[in-house]
Amino acid sequence: MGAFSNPEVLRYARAQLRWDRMLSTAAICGILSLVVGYSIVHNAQDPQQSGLEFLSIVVRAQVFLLLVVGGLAALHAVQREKDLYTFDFQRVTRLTPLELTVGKLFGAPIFSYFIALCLLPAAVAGAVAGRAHPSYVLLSLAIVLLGAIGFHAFALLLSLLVDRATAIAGVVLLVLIITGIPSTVSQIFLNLGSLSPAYAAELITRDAWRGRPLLAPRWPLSQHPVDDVLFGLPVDHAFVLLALYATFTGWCLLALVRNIKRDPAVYEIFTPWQALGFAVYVNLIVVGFFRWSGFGPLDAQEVLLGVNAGVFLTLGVILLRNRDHVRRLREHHAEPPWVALSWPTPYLVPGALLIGLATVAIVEAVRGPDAAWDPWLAVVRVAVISAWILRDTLYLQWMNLRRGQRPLLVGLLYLAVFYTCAGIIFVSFRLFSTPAGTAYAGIFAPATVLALSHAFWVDARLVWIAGLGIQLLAAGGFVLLQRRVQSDLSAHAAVDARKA
Amino acid sequence: MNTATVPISARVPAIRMENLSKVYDLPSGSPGKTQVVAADNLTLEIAAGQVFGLVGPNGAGKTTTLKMVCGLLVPTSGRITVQGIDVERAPEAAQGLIGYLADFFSLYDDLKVWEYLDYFARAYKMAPEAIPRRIDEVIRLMGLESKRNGFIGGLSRGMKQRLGLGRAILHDPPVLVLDEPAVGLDPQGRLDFKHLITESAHRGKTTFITSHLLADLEELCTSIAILERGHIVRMGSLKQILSGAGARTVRIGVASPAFPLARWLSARPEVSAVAADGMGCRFSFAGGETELAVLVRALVLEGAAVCAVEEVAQTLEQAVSRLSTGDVM
Repeated sequence: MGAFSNPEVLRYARAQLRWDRMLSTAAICGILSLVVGYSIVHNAQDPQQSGLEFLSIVVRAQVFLLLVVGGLAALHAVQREKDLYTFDFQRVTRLTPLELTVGKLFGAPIFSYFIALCLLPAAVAGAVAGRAHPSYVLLSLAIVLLGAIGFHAFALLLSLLVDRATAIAGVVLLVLIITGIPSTVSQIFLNLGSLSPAYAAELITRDAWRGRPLLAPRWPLSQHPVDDVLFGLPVDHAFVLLALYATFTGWCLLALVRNIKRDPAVYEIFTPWQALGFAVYVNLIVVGFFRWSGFGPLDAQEVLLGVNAGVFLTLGVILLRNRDHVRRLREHHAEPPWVALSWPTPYLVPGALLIGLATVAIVEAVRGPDAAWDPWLAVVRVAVISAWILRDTLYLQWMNLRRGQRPLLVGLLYLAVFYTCAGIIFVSFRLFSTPAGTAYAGIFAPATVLALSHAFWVDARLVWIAGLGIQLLAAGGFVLLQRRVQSDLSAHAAVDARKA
Repeated sequence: MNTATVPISARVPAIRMENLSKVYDLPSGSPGKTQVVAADNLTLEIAAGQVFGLVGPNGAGKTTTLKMVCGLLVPTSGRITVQGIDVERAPEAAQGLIGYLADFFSLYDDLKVWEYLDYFARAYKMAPEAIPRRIDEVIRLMGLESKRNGFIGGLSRGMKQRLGLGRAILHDPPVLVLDEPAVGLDPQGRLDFKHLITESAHRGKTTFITSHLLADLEELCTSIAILERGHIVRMGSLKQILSGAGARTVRIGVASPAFPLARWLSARPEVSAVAADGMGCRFSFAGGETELAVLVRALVLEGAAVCAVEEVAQTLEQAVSRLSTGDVM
């Protein structure tokens, strides 16, 4: 079933693209294009420059409309159906999860695509007047479309998995990331240009293949290098963007297809192996585009391990099970008890260790011969971070199995309060000024190990290793607590409930 | 475990539940219990062509059970098959065999009536050439001809209910799962609905239905299960349910107004719930034909001019009321 014969796309098209609505939208777009075009031409000296400027404005408008109007539509696509109790009817059809997902992905934001289409004549006029390079016009169009699809897929995933407020927060966060990364993170850590589809507006104004844009940048940091650096090789940023959008969309689609027709009580974004694949994917991007020249080996490991910790803690939250899920697994005796009690760490911790050690090996391979480097410190960092992931994930899993309205949210809140208070106390007692103090702080806030220097490590090795043992003991404590909660979810408890 | 089963007329039952359970958590702070069993080890088979009614008080677990049959909720334990297809393992294949109507639902107000049906016809992957004819047929069947090109937002509640029902039968599924389908229908709509279900049953279609309108179920159902707190308290054919509901209701008429019939009957141990009814009394009688004959003979010997003895047929409502303890979760 193609995207355009998909019943869901057809339904959205019928609902959103009535003739009267389409005509009025086309008229508004036409009038606005004429007015903006005229005002630019009227004040311009150089027709080519004014054409390119107009083209750039139109492309930015298309990107904005696709992201905002289309993103909001995708964000409501499942939630509104759930509110109206129509989603169950869609689930009880012969539509496969892929067909339903594709239908919503292209159907829900269909009106934003129509608006972008209405602006296309203006873009063509701008491209002709500005003598834009045809290959860049096509490439820009591909970036705008793939970028919008990736964004819509993410919004749709949020719409499926979380409540409205969290979904809106997620979309806002993504907007900040794709607009904020070019001027901050990527300039510092990565050889990677803007991740925003608005890059198409810059790309389209290049005068020749791989040439500089003809238009001056609007902001000091808004113009990016033509090439990114991937594993030391220059790669055109436009193609990098297309690859990133396509793969990101792929991950979102995987999660959507896996869950869209499921009972919401047993949503599971990825299987553990898919989650590990996602962790490898993120690491490949970070390691591949890492700005090695800007960092010494230990600093580089600090950044890469920090990213890894974030990725694995996020995956840990994604893989957590709720009470319904655990109850079903217990009824079906689906896995060995040790896996059930330590979930999801049997996948997370080996993954974090493996990727952490691989990072150590990469740093070892690429570092300069004279650079300061201590492989043992690097390995201890990986071990402490893995133990941290183990401890906090087991804590969150235990919290998530407790009875309550939003047990996971409460668990995360307690964790945030704990780290905030610990941080304030550590700073007040100036623990970070001595090697032993830093090591003691590391027992409570293991992320401290990321900034651990060679000298501090050498002076407090035993405390760090003892701290590692304490982390493991704490993790064992959470396993025991989880065991108690899980026994409440057993068949006996259900029988008790029956009798009550 | 509830082991009573409805007689199976086909080799593969239309719906089969095996030890089906569903446990929900109660909100924290609920006194005593921490979880509730919405379906308690249910085992039943519904043969093809049956109209199977699931009745019980609010919160008995009826909607949960229906949703599990449709694959919308996963059971905590147990297995469901629809025409031999495991709902959990092959949900799309099983769902394709089901026409489902929820107890509470909305439609797409921004679509026209025919567009709505067209959408679901495509979603059920009906043959494209058959869709227009089937849409016309369903619109006619539901009495919505005048609204064919109207927006759903402009329909009355009853019409929306008809359209919802039309959607459920659109792809002519072998199994209909209907949760309170007659709510909001006018008298003509209810008649049409009953005709539709009866007609479907004659064509070998199976209907699994819940309703609080027990009089409707009594006319429609071939089998009934009474569900309470997720547990089947009685299950069987309609006849079994009606006859197995304990005491029968009898009316005795007398032609001697001065005879204290109500007082006399109330004193008999096998008689209960005596109510005056014109020149006679209506009462529950816990006994067979012989005991009734003995009662009538005793009454005549007491001097009462008995002019009528008749058994009052028991309704499903009365049977359910007798069999059900009224417990809710």
